Amino acid sequence: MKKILSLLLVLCGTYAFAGVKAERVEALALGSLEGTGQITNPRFSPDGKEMFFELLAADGESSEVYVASVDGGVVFPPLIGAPEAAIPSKKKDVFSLGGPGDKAISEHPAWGVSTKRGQSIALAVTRKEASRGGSKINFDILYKAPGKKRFLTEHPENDSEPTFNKSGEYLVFASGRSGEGDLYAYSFYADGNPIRRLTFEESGSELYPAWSPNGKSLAFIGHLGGVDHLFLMDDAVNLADIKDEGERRSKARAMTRDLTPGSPDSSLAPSFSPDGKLIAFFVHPKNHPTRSDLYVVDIADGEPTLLAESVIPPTRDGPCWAPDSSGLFVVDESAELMNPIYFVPLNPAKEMSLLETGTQLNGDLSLRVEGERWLLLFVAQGGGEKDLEKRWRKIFVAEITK
Amino acid sequence: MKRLAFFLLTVIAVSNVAVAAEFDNLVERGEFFNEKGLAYASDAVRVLEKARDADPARAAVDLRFGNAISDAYIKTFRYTEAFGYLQALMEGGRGDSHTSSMLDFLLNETGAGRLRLESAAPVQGLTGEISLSEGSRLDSAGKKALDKLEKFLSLPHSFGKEGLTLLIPEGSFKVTFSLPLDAKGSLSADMEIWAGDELVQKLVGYYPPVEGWVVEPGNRRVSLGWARIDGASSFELYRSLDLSSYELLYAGEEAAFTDSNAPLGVPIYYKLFSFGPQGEALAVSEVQTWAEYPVSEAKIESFLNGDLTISVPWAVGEGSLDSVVIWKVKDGVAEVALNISGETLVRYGELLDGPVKLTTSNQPITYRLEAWLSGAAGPAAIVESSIIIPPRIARVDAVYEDRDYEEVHIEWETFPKDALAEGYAIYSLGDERGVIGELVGRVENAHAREYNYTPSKKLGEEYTLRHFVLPYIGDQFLVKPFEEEASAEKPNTPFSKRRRVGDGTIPNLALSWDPYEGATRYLVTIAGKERQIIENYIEFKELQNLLMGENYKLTVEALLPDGKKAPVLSLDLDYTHYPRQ
Repeated sequence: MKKILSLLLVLCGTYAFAGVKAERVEALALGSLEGTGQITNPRFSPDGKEMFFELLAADGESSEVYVASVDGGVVFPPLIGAPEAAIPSKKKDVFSLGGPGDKAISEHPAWGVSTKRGQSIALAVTRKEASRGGSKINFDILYKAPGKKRFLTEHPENDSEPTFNKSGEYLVFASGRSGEGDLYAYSFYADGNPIRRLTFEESGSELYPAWSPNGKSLAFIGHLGGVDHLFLMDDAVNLADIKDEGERRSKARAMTRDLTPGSPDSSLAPSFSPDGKLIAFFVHPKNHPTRSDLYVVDIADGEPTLLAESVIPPTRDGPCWAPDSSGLFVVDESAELMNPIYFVPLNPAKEMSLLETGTQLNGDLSLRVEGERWLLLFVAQGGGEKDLEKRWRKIFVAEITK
Repeated sequence: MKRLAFFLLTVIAVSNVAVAAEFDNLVERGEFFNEKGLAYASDAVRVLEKARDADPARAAVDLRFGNAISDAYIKTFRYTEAFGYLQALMEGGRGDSHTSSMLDFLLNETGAGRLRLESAAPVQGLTGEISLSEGSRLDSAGKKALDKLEKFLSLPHSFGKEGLTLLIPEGSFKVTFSLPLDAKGSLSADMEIWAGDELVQKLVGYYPPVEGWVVEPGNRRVSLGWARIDGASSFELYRSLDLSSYELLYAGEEAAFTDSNAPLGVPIYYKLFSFGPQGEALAVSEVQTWAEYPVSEAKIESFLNGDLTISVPWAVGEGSLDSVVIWKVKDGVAEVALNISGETLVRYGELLDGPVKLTTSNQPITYRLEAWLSGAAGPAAIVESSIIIPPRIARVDAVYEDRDYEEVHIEWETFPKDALAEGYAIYSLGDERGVIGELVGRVENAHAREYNYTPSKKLGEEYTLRHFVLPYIGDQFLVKPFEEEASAEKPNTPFSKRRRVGDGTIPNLALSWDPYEGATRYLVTIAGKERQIIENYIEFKELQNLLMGENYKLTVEALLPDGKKAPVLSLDLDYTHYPRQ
């Protein structure tokens, strides 16, 4: 794909830069957090009023999720409020929140639904396990919404990768509680135990859950035969509604399809197209295990198609789709161009576009539609003379036009 | 005794120490369970509630306990109860940072909104029900919190002006509260509550002071008036005798009402609801009063009058009164002597009974006054007055005469001493032949024991009059004349020369008649002058002046042994009949 990409660039010449463009690119001011650590995974909330990101502390010891208010409006870039830690570390630990010392480690945030009172969010957070004694740290899933904050899970093994479905009724997460990594659903309105195991493969772990846009199907990566395959659970909601685990177990396999059957390569980080027809995912080729290629598979016929080679997967989640499902935004792994951002259309006949963001070492793309405009959020180091301190990446927002 | 007191004090002290130790031990165990996480929260609640039961007073103020039980309640989704403890600790100035953190957690992280029940009036025994509105649903945490809230509301709760705050999971609900204050019994509201919200439900928004009422108790009635609070356009007034059931007395726009059927002698509770233009309850206030108490005091007396009537003055005191009945009880027989009610009802008066008929023995009579309320099982007040009517006079024991210048003063004694007659006839012993005595006067007073008069003759130094007294009833003398000893001495005035009618000496009169069988004496009355004579013959002198221009009746009556009189003859006398010769 890398070759294909280069070839396309050569063939298309100046046309390569036609189509999708980054009209305006600005860094978002993060105030006192700037320069304190590595920022990853910025995402606007569905209601556009908030933004989260993760900050790996400079000492590398802890990571924290921060949330900032966003005043979009018509201004560009959006006005960002002072970021606040999702779990205030200085707060008195009321109910075993917090990691070593007084500081909680939080990661892998996921936006849930928004109500008229605000936005819900889930994230993996460490908590003290006083009941188990000692200082063993593990992650549990913390749910926050206006006026609400509680752990959805409490288990000695890690729970992480929370992902809400569209309605917000189900949250799927990956958990080590089964001993090998499995996906579980937290059903907010369930009777009885709200935690429902969804995957039951004995010999492998299931990770990277991704909900379909309609909130019913679930894509994930399952370890099968030494490699990681992309699976699709067609009706995960229905499965999660089954109270009896035995019944659920018996139906889970029938509901699950391998979308990369027979592949010797390892897949990771699937992502549904907004129209729900395709799943984009990354692949580590067997013969190039350190390389990541971008694939797309039609969930109807299940034949994966290579779309780009040598791209850089985001820190969390899967590839970044264009809102109209016409293509994906990817970060090209290019030492020469310092990891530029491309828009790769699905239609091979169309040109892919290099977004001139003026930034370097881009990553963690996410996109939000605001009216007529697309806002591409990503992390990068500033380019040229503007960014004197290039050690730490910043959050940038680009206004995209087609 | 001292040893016993010391023993008791020792027992009490040891007991207190034991309670304190038990309390501390249970709190420590509760904290231990709390530390072990959610799985042990129910155990924490159990032991901490046990600690509270062991020493409720300490539990109400103890920070360590308050924090521990709040922690346990929160972990078991009993948010309302946790909030109660935490709020009390903070407002009492006893909370610490942990208290504050838990309170913050409750209000901002549990997903619960607050419904603050406010009441200006103290609420006793409030219960409630809460159910999800149709189409609304709760997540699992909300369901647990709602379940615990339902249990909390099913128990009666009391609170004052501080109110009661319910922590309700985010959602839409129908909430119904029993309102012990409210005669209507319940209050329902549909509400949508969001996490972090604080809604206020006013049970009683305003509690007008009792001073705002005008209460005038009366007889079976209570007149009520009340201040019209701002915005109030209509009122409902309820009455209760037991503070549990209420009866609607009045619904209208006037700020006054008279309860004309108020029960007597028991506390009456009136509750007033003031409503706004849309029928919304603005305020409830309550007043306790009584209808006027029934009459509790009355007085009655009885006096025997000189005419042998009995005066019975009576009066009843303040209080409710419907009728007054006075019974006369004599010889075991009761008869109504007075019965007044309605428009004739007065609170005092004098009953005049009799005259009594004297007998030979004492006659006890009792007058019993009963003050009644209609429909009552018994009289509200009852008093009696008894009087003993003495027997009639059996005899006159002695007559004493005294002279003071020209006035003669006579006193007498009777047997029995206090015996009575209707009146007394006083005779002076006659100075004419055959005349025993001449009536000088009558005293018509049963109690009389004296008589004064001025004789028509001028009394000389040597002149002596003797008298006798005949008590009588009607036309009957009570004393037999032959037993009369008062005239034992003959007058020392010599019997003057007798003149006969027609002898030219006008107007002298000599009169004789046939003897009346059985007569002991004769009573001869002329010109109002009565004489008692023994024989059936009498002479009158100096009639001329008496008869000039006047007509007189002369009567002769035979006095019989039983004291009764029988007419013998009657003559009309005038000058024509006895012309001057």
